Amino acid sequence: MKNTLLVKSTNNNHYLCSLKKNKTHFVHPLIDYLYQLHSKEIDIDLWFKKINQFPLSIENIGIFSSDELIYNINKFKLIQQAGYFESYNMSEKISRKISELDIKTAIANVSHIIIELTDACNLNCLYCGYGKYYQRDFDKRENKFLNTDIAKTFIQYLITAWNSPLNRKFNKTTTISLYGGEPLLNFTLIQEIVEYTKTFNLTQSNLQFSISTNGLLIDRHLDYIVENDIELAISLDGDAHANSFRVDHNNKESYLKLRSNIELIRKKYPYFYEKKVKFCSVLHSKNSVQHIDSFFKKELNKKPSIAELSKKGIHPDFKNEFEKIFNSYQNNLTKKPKKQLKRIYSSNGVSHFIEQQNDFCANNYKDLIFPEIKQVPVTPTRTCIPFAKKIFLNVNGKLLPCETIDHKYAQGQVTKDKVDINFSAICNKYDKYFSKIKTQCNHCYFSETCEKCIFDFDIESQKKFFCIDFMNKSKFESYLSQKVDFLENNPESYSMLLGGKENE
Amino acid sequence: MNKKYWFYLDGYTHYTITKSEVLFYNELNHSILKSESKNILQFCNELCSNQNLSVIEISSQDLKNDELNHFIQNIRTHFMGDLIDQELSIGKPIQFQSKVKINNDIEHLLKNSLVSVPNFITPFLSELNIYINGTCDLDCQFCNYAYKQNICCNKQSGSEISIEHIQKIISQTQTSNLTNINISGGNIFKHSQFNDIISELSELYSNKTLHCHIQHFNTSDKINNCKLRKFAFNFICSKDVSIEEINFTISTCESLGFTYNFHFPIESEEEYFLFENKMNTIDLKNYTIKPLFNHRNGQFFKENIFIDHDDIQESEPEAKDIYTNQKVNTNFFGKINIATDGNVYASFNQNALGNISENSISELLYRELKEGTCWLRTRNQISPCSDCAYQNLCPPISNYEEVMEQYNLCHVKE
Repeated sequence: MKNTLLVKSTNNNHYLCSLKKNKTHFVHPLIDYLYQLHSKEIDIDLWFKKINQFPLSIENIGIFSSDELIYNINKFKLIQQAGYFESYNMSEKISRKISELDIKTAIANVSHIIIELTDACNLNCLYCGYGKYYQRDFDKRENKFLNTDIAKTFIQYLITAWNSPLNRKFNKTTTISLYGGEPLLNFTLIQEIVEYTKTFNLTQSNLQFSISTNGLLIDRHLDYIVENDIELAISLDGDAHANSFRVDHNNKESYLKLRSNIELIRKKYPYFYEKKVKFCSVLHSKNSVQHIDSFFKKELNKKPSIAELSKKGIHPDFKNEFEKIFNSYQNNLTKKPKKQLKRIYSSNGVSHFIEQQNDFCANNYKDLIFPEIKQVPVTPTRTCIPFAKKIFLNVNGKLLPCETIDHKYAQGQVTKDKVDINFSAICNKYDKYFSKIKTQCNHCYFSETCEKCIFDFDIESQKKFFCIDFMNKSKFESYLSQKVDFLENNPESYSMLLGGKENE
Repeated sequence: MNKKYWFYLDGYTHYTITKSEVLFYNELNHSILKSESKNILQFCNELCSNQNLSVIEISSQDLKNDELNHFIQNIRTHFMGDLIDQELSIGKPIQFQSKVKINNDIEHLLKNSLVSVPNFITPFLSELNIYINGTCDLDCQFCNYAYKQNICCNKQSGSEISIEHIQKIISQTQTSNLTNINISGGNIFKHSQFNDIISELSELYSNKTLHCHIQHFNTSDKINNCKLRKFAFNFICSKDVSIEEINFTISTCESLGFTYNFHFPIESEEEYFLFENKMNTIDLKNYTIKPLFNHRNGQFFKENIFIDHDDIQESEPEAKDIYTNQKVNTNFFGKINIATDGNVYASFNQNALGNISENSISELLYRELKEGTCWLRTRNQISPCSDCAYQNLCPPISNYEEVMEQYNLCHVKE
């Protein structure tokens, strides 16, 4: 059971946050004071009658006339009658169970497939997710190549699902990301997959292939890639210095070879470069958001996507070393260049706070029309329905709902001749996972706003585990105050985050 | 001494500012405050700007301006806002001004290639109105125009919808949140596969209603089908319907265990009283009276249907009504009509979105969201409502307005 909160900003302004009504308002300090009396079960009318001297001085709040008190008592009653102070119970809200139909529908409509063609890589980047800094339950990297029949069986299975009545897609692109290791090391399989999909008449879905690559082998295969309109997502962290964590197995830097390959694409296929080549940069101690942005603009005429290093599953022996190369996105954005305002506001959670704590923000049209839908049960945390966002096939034929999840949580297996997904077992497994976290979610003030994935926890462990983001009332009050402080100091951010223009 | 205050609007106070007026609405006590004063309008534009977000500095000197002082006192009296002594705070507060935002609106769906559009759109479908045939031997005066205003039978087309189309519709709406399915005709009982259609639909969880003329029901030989108990009946009655006919229908329904309602289309006050007398005579409770525009009864609509300030205030709009009125049309949103030839319409007053034999339902829903003229048609897009400060409090545009080709079915500006 959770209650209404009243918090104060550093500027001494008072805000009411009603979880029941899903509203946050700036209020008169007397409303805050009256709520404190109400919480202590003091009869407000009796309290007022007993006051024998006006103006009334209230410690840490102010001095108020009789008229001001009467006015605010009446306003307080109006707010109270509207249900602002009612407590809120989460247990029913987080009672949704995932059904077999949910999963089948998810597969029939999924828009992103990721296939790991090999776990081998011609680079040995310092911060690699499969490298020394991480202690994760990923399958051991053994320089394997994905079996062609497994890949074909998987694609055949997906196409059958896409042709089923559960498919609601039309004129919609499904992206097949070819992933590794370094996928270009298994180029034969890329060709086989691309040619194999051409044998199907896909009426309900357009396929777009994409290769996530370090770019070192592009020169060998560029013509085929361009002919088949395959998108390239190339990893590059900036200039030679910024890119110096990306080295081969002999510790030789990869920058010069990659730049030469990029120039080859630009020169030989300028239109393809403009439309189909994307860059992904990792933020670390040798670069910065500003450096990355200016490098790409000046040198390559592109705007890359920028990601922090994952902090999940850091090996305890390398924690200090990792911290030295870690660079936080948020810290990078403190200088507030005008053009980056929206990026700053979105990245510090203020946008999420406004949207979650106010009823005028909805996820979609239906949530706006029927806000009571928000009361419809959901699963604890914000874990996706398995395979609704992505399906990841790893090099060993394991099927996972996402490439970032430990491989021990595989939800299916593809062999040379069949795809084995036990839908009812997945439902039971998720049920079991959710039951482990549900009690914490029920008492967590952040659970309505939570964006955690159940696989962020060691969910199959027999030991009890605690969510590090759990918020009791006082922790949530601090969170609210912090966000309100930010908005008071950056009022322009409010309209911008709710749909205004950047330089409004 | 020139004392300084923060003047602020409460978070539950909604405002609409047009070129010439400003309106405030308190969602808790439903009070409305409106001003057409140029000075107040200018002040409110500043108060509600993106820079001020409903909080503005006011000095005791400012309050010597009678007009402004009077306005602020009015806001206070209606519990819509207040003044706070700046000594109580050390910096400007921010009010969480209600700016309606839909994360996955159509613009976002079009931009974001990784979002599965059908997964988002199919669940929006909540009501399906299927016209299964056009065969009818009656000659009701309202036949040609009633179905364009409310769900009502219509015999314009002589064709019938095929059972394959019905099956296709059912399979394609499996993952929607279909709450209501309405079946109408023609004389629906004359459909060559009526019993098959009933069988197909009977197992669906949605509320299912058969809309038929009372005479068709009373003369049909197909009403002994026990699956019909899973449907509700809506009996359309012409003004010449007799008390005996109504009584006969009631006794048939009760003996067969059917749920029912009587639907009386009226075109004048005389017709209203005629029906009301009949209802009083037999003490009928479950009936609906629906006004019908026939292009000759504008005065009847003006006197009885048009709304005024009091109607709007008495309707006590909730916050969600105000938000939805800015973004979607709840009279149309989530509803589609399928004609006997398979053509699909968001409203029969608009062009067809496509045909069920060529397009999937989700594709047609997507088309309506992207290019359509019903689901997202709000008062701020049409004249004269876009200039009226009541635009977000009024009920959304309806089929009546489309038929009358007039959008202000109100006396607000008189």
